[in-house]
Amino acid sequence: MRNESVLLARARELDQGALAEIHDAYYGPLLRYIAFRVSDQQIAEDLTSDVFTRLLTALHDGRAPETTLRGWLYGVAANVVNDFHRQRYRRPQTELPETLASPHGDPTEAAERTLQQNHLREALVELTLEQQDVLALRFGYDMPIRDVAETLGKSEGAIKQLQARAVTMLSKKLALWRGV
Amino acid sequence: MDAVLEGKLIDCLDALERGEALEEILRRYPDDAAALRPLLETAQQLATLPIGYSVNSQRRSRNAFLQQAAQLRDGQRRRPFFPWLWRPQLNASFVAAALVVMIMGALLFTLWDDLQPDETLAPNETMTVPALMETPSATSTVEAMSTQQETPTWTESAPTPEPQETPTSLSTATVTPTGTNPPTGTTTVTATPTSTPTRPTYTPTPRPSDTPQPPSPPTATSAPAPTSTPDDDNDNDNDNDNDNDNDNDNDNDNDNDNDNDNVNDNNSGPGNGNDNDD
Repeated sequence: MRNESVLLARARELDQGALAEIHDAYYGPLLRYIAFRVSDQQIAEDLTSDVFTRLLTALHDGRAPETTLRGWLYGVAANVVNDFHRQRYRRPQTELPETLASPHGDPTEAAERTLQQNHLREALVELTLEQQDVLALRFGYDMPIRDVAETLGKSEGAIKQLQARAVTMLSKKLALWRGV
Repeated sequence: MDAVLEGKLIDCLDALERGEALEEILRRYPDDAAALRPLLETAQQLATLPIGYSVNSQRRSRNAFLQQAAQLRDGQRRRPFFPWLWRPQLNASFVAAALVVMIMGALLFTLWDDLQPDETLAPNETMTVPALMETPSATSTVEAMSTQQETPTWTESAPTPEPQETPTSLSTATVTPTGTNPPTGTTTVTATPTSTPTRPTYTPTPRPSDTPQPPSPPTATSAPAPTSTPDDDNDNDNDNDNDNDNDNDNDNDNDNDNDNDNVNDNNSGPGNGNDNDD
């Protein structure tokens, strides 16, 4: 993406082209980040759209960032996910089990893979919030360690340690599900 | 996990981030490869976790996003003058303040109206007094127009002010009915000063409650008035008092018919003409 400050200047004027460019650039990373924090794909898509709605409100009210969007969007996404979890805690819902397998490849293998991915997603949301943030930014938002550290206001060493402990925790949970 | 193994895991994750292959990384740590392998495989799964999205979902989100932006832009164009006034909080405050001002104004007007002297006419009556002249031939005409009552069929003298209160007002008033019985009753009260050419001063008619009037006969002559019997007087009283008299006033009407013509005109109230007969 070209210089974001120019893009943001156009976006503040609610220029359709600039807004479309921003949406296309950040929709995927935001969705992945949010999907790391919530296990339901549909909810992740809805929350991603909510992030863009908040961006519009900020642009309209003059609260949008001036130079770069990446960190600001991450903060908004984190708030959106936290709000979602708070509401969900107040009104717990029962999720329907995933019954559809992938139409491609061996059905048994695909079902096994899908099951393992679902376990991984469920394990992700059981991590601490800091660990979730690090993994979501690192693997969902596709941020390098340095950017994650800058975004979260921590040192690179602290982020690496958080990442290593989160991976260890996930691995233990997956081993429990496998019966190892 | 001990600190040593955690350090090795961090190094391995860095190597994964740089894009090195898993087997190549594990070869560097043969002693801990068994412990590190499941951890690195989990990290690989995270990196390849299929969090895909359909093109349709992205297009849907984009369309909604651009549509909201268009609505916001249209709202900005249609923003009126003084946009701060149209903010919801300020708008509500402004409406509340306007309501308070209106209520206070109504209260002040009511208080002001109550504090006015009682010589004011009823809302539907007009009074013209062009007799503020110095010449003795000046005539004062008090014209009371009422759209609510019938034309009085009798004439009575104007209220006689008490001499102690109005020593200079020696004029006598003659009530001349104009028209026999038109629906738009007009009563002309002509006051002819009979004494010194002093400037006629208008003296507020005392209220019946303030100064009970003696049962004196009328001092004015009824000019072309038909001779009225007491029964007729009562009937005429009723006609005049229909709109404006209250029950208490009507009790006095029996004794003070002359006074109540003017006095009762000033009292507003629903018509109680039937109460006066007794």
